[in-house]
This record gives sequence, C-alpha cells and structure tokens, in this order.
Amino acid sequence: MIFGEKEETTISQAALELVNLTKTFGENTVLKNLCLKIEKGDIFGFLGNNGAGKTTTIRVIFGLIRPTKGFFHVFGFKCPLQITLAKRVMGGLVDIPAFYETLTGRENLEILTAFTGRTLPKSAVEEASRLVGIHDILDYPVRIYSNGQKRRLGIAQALVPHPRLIVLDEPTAGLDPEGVKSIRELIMDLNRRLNITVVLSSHVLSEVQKTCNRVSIIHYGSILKTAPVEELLFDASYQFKISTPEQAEKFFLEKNITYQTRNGYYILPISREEVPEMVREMGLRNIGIYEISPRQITLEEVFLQTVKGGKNEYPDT
Amino acid sequence: MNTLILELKKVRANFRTYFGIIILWGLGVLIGINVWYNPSLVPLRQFGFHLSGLYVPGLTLYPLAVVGPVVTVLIAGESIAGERIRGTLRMVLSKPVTRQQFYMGKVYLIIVYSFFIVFSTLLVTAVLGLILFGGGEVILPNELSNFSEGFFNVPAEEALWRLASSGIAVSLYVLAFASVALFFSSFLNHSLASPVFTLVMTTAFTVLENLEFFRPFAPYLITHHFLYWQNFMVHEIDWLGFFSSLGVVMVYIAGGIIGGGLIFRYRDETD
Repeated sequence: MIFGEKEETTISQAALELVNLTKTFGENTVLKNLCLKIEKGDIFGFLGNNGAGKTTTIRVIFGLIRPTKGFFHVFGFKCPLQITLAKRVMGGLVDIPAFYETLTGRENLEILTAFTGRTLPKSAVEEASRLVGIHDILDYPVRIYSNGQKRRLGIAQALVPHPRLIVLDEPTAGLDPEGVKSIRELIMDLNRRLNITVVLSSHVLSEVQKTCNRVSIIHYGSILKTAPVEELLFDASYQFKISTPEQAEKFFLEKNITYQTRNGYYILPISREEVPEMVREMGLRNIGIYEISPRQITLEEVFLQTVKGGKNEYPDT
Repeated sequence: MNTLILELKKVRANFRTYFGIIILWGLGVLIGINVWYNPSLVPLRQFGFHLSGLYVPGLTLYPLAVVGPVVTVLIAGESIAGERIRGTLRMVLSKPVTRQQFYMGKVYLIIVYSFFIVFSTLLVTAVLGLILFGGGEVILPNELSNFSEGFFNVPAEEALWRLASSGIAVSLYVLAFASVALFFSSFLNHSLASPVFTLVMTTAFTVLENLEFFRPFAPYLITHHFLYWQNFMVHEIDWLGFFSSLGVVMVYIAGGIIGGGLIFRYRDETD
C-alpha cells in the first residue's frame, strides 16, 4: 500500500481507459470529457495539432496534472486515486526527455529507476540500454549525448522497470529520418516481442500510420474520432483520369454522382463492383479514360478531414 | 532516506554545491590567519592570556550566519524550480514516487546541507585554530566585542559544547532561510527566482526591523535573530532569549517546509 492507495483492481482491464476526463485551467477547458479505451497489445496513436491537448492528457495520465473531472484506469487501477500503483505498471516519456546532464546515462537510469520503489536487478539497466542501442555510451555524461541518443535514453528509462504500458509523447520529434525509422522499429519491436502496449502522440502522421494499429484524433480538447488505422484508411472510392472533363462533369450531374477532384483525378464514391458499369456508361458517352485506380488515402488526409469539422473536402478541391 | 541518497547523488555532480563550501572554508581559514596577525589581540597576549584554538571557529560563526543562508538559499531555491525548468521534475514524477516522497528528499537535503556547511567549517577552522594556537581554556570578554569590560574563562570542554550549541543554532538559522527558499521553489519555475525572492525578503526584513513604526514586529522577523547563537558566548547563558529566538527560527523552518510541501503536492506541473 502506498500512502493509502488500496491495491485493488476494478472491473476495467483495458490497458488504459479514460472516462470523461476533463481539465480546466481558469476559464480555459483544455480537455473536454475525453473517453477512450486502449486495449492490451495496441500501438495506439494520439494525433492532434499543437494545443489540441495531447501532452496535457499524457501529463494527466502520469499524475503531473490533476483532472478537474473524470478519471482513468490503467490496467484496472483507478486513477488519480491509485496513480502511484498505476505508474508501477507503466513507463513513459512526457514531452522532451530531460536528464541530469552532469551525470552519466547509467547514473541517470539508476536514479530514475530508484524512484520506481522496487528493487530491480542491476541487469535491468543493462538490458534496457542494450534494447535501445545506447549501451556503448552509457558511461558517458548525458551532456554529450545527441538528441537521438537522449530520446533512446528516455525510452530506456521507461523500459527499465519492465512496464506493461509505455506512453511516449512525440518520441521522434527532432530526429533525423534515420533516427525516426529506428525509433519506429524499436517501438514495434517492443510491442511484438515484449507485448508492451504502446501509446504515442505524434505530429508525424506518416510515422503513426506505419507504427500504430489504432488512433485517436484530438482537437481543441475533444476526441473527434477513434478507430483502427486500417478502417480510417479504407476509402470506398476510385479515382479516374479523364480526357474530356466537360463531358464527364455533365455525365456526373445527370447521374447525380457526387465527385471531387484532386491532382487532376475525379474521385467517385463507388465500390469495386460498380467500376465496370461506370466505365461502360462513360464509354457510351465518349468520355475518354486514361487511368482508373482505387483511391489510397493517407492518415494525414483523414486527420485534416476530421479536424476540419468532418467536412468531406480536400485541400486542393 | 532513499530519497536523500538520490538527492545527494544529484548534487554531488553540481559545482554550486562545492562553491559554497569552498567559500565558507576559505573564510574560516582567512579568519584564522586574521586572528594570528590581529594587532588588537596582541595586548591580550602581552597580558599573558592564552588564545585557545577554539577562538577561530568561534569567530567563524559570525560570517557563517551571514554567508551560510546565501549559500543554502542557492541550493534550496534551485532544488525544485531548477528540476522543473530542466524538465527532470516531470521525468521523476512520471515514476511511481509520490510527491511527498520526492519533496521529503529535498527537505532532507537542505537539512543535511545546512548542518554540513556549518559543522564542516567549524571543524576545518577548529583544526586550523589548534594548529595555530593549541587547545586549552577559552577566554571570552564579558561583553561581546568589548575587551574593556573584563573577561571570563571557559574550560575547554564547556567551550566545546558552547561552540557545538552555537553551531546548531547557526545551522537552524541557515536552515530557516533554506526552508523559505524551498517554499518559493515549490511553485516558481525559474531556478534563480527563488534565491532572489528569498534574498529580497531578507533585505526587506532588515530594513523593516530598523523602521521605528515596525519595531514591535521586529522579533517576528527572522533577520532579527541573526545573532541569537551568541547567547552561548556570554558568561551566563540567556536561555530565555535563546529559546524565544529558536521558536521564531523553528516557525520559519516549519512554515517554509510545510507550506512548500502543500503547494507542491497540489500544483499542476505544466512546465
């Protein structure tokens, strides 16, 4: 028992569940009734613009900020009441990693590990540093570490106590493409090999698309959408490159087909089965078709679409 | 105690930690040299008085009460605010440590540091004094800083415990300032803001206690008790004066520590 916190778990056994989480600073409500459930084994992406509330949410999860209303569960521990117990099963990185610069990487890990309140074998530090690839520089002072090495040290400190959940705030911010790739691979490896649930917030949507299996889009403190990445990227539409735009547009008008244009393509909301019939009809009207392909959308497009109030519009339409 | 060890590990790599100690030890040594060459003490020697080596640490108490608070205020004021501004505070608080545990580590640190700087300086100067003058009983003036009012002898053993008690009194006085600095540090987010606030407060108190209108409030101001350790240096120890001053000093210590702890416990760490 830690300072009156009872070691009892509740019914919820999701890795992380936010229930009506609200945070107000003065008159400014920065988190508005956030509800979210992250299952064990997920690599979950938390997307949002600057000031959307991502970091504030992560700070609430780590007990740095107290919610004004609502609560959350971490592997069944009801927080903020049982926050210290919850933090025993999770590790993370809030904002930019910061260390005691005059101490070595090893000393930093030992100090931060000592705050876990558990006796961990000495090998835990070695193990974590090896896992993130900084073992060779562990005995150098942190002040000489590069940004990427500090990020890795940040992930290492989160891993030392063998957490079941790690929460990473912008883990690839400020890294070069190679660094971004290696952190991505590391995260996926941790999830796959050690079955660690990962929650990460990021601006780099292409990375989130490659790394995460589920995402949530947060905007001005509200969660607008939560779904598996595959589902978000699925777009039942086909894009046509057409040689006779006027005729095509006239045809779409007659048939009452809503369309959009992007990069010279006409995007039609039709399924794969409807494509042959559409081609036949357009052929009958002498509409020249150069190219037909299923439309691939990116997480960036989904994100922009969602934060613009759900309107089905694209930037260059 | 585990948190204290962690705090000591952190400060041991910080230059500022040693800077204050070096200054204080250096002052002690300079005072020793001054006593050795002080012409005003020559007549005493001519009268056949023996200068005990304990004179040197005894005289060092005064600069300790002046410089000690400045040194500890820098350490205490930086302790939480510095971690906050560097970002290590959020790193530590994201671990399964309660804020009380973290805060208590800082409290233990300032207690240990306050006593360490005072007693280590006393030890250094005592060794220097014994080398320069040897041991033996201490002769103190009946009226401090006034040799014309006669003298009294203090046996070496009694002189030692009087010196140790004065050392404790100075340490607590220093700790009172450190506690106030810790209080400011618990909510400020600039590592120098807390030491500056504390030193501004000290200056303001010094001015206030000299203003006629505020004289009745002077006994409640910490700066008013700057010399309360001298109660152990007079012939008949003024226990009442000592304990009333000690009470004020303890109120500042408790107020700073408890106030800072409460603020730190409930503060949203957004930096």
